[in-house]
Amino acid sequence: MTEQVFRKCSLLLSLAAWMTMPNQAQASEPLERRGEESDRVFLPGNFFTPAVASAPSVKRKPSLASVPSLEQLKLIESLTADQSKRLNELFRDYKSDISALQAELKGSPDAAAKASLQARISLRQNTLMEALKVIVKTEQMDELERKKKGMTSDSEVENLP
Amino acid sequence: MTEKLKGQQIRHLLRRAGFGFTPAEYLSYRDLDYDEAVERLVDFETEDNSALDALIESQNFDFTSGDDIKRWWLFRMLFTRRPLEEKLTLFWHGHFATSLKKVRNPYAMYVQNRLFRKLCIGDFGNLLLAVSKDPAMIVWLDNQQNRKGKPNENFAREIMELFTLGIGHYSEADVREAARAFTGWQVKNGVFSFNKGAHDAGKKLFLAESGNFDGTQVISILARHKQTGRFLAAKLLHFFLGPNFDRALLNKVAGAYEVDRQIRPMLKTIFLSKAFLSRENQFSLVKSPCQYVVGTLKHLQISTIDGDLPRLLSAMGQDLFAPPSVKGWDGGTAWLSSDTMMARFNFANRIIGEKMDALKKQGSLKDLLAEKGIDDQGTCVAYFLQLLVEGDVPPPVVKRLEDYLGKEPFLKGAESKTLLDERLRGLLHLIMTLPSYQLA
Repeated sequence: MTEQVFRKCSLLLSLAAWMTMPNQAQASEPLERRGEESDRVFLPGNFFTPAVASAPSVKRKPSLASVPSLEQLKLIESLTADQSKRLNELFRDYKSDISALQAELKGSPDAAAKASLQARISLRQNTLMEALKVIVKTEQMDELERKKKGMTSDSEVENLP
Repeated sequence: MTEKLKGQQIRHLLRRAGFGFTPAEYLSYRDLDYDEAVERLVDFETEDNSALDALIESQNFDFTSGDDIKRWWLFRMLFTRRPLEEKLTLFWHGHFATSLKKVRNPYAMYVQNRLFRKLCIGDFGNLLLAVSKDPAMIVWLDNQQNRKGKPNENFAREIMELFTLGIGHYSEADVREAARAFTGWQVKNGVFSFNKGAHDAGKKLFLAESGNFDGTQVISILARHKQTGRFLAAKLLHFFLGPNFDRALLNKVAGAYEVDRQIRPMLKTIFLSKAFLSRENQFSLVKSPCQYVVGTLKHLQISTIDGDLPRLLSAMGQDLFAPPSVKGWDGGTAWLSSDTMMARFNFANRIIGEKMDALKKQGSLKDLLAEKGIDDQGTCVAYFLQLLVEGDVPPPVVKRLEDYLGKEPFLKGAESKTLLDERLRGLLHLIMTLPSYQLA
């Protein structure tokens, strides 16, 4: 622990010292001279260039089924107070059930028991989705879907007089 | 100007006006004159960015998820063909700091972010008007509660203190009068709504002008105020050039605003100034965590963003969509603390590990190094110092890095494969933890 703190302090001190002497290296060695080598190192084909470029992507954990969260549902603008109250109750029970099942799953000893619990979790998710369909109208779910996809109705730029 | 000097200046420009560069990006700029490079970066609307739109579509981001909107923005920073557009969006996010932690609506924050991007370089008055009507901003600064007879002064105060004039250029009476003008500016069903019943339409005296002002008229007075130009000029200079600029340059940048409130000519004035290009200014700004992370991914030519990157950025002190206060991020040396530096170093360690594992799959490190003409400790250290920090380190540090690689003949013998791998990873990590790597 002491060693860790010491290391952190040393790092900060050295950086602080560097910052108080900006461009120390540059001052002693003009940029023009430092740049005497060709700029090939910055061009395609340098050490870090992959042999085959892979497509840009984001690595994410797969989400649990397609069950919307309560917070997401609350983003539906046309949700009434009554719908909101019913959703709160629905999710209170759902979260309680799912937490218990997931705790069981975590402590489950064998693959068969795990599979059985996974099935019960899926079933509970399905019952939640069925209950949601009763509370939230189709057009309201569509509104949420549009938001999830980032669809907006960008207004025209208003010019300030 | 020599080709080498021009190359250095263009790389400096790509670091400051963007987040660094991949080799392909540098290649596409290096044959331009410096002025042409500035034009291309600043007049970014001419760059076709449709490939980015298609890439984003393919990632299925969920814009109602706080984590996903952060990933979406990092993705944009990394793969856009308009780096200044994203850098300016980040600037405005800090200027008009709004936090998910209070707004609690990722979609509204996403909509606000789009607004920053759309209006980032044009008429500041239009941007200010749009931000003042933005649902996330209205919630963030409590204008929903600003009603006739019960004014809430939060928004009125911040629009002067933080968005336009700065402290010392308005009075408490101006705050009260402006708050009256913004009464009734609310959000209804997720969009801006003017609540006439809650609006105070009476006469106001604001910054020595009087009339039955509404919010738009107050914004108009603020946007054409000379001090607004100076305030914005100072903030833009701090962000893009750093704290060391003289009054003459400040006046020049502010003067560019006064013509017609446009941000674009202010930026051109900054990027074309001698101070921006001066030797002292290069590698003198502490990288923000976004700059550090996105720049590193570009340097190492990594095209996959880890899902937990927003969490790592937060550990470095920059939680996107959640600035620490209404003042945004302080920037500069405030980025540096023992905890945030360790977070940077841990990120560097992890990203080097991923990159080296990938490189080893495409061939032996020995061959990869040999292809680049690296055959001893000296050439190895020089190559990576040049690539990562443009050689900006004192000679004793170079010596220590060479010593780190060891005394035994470099790249000799199959038995040294593991050692070579370990030392190379170590060398890259050491360089990326150097003070110069924290600077742009």
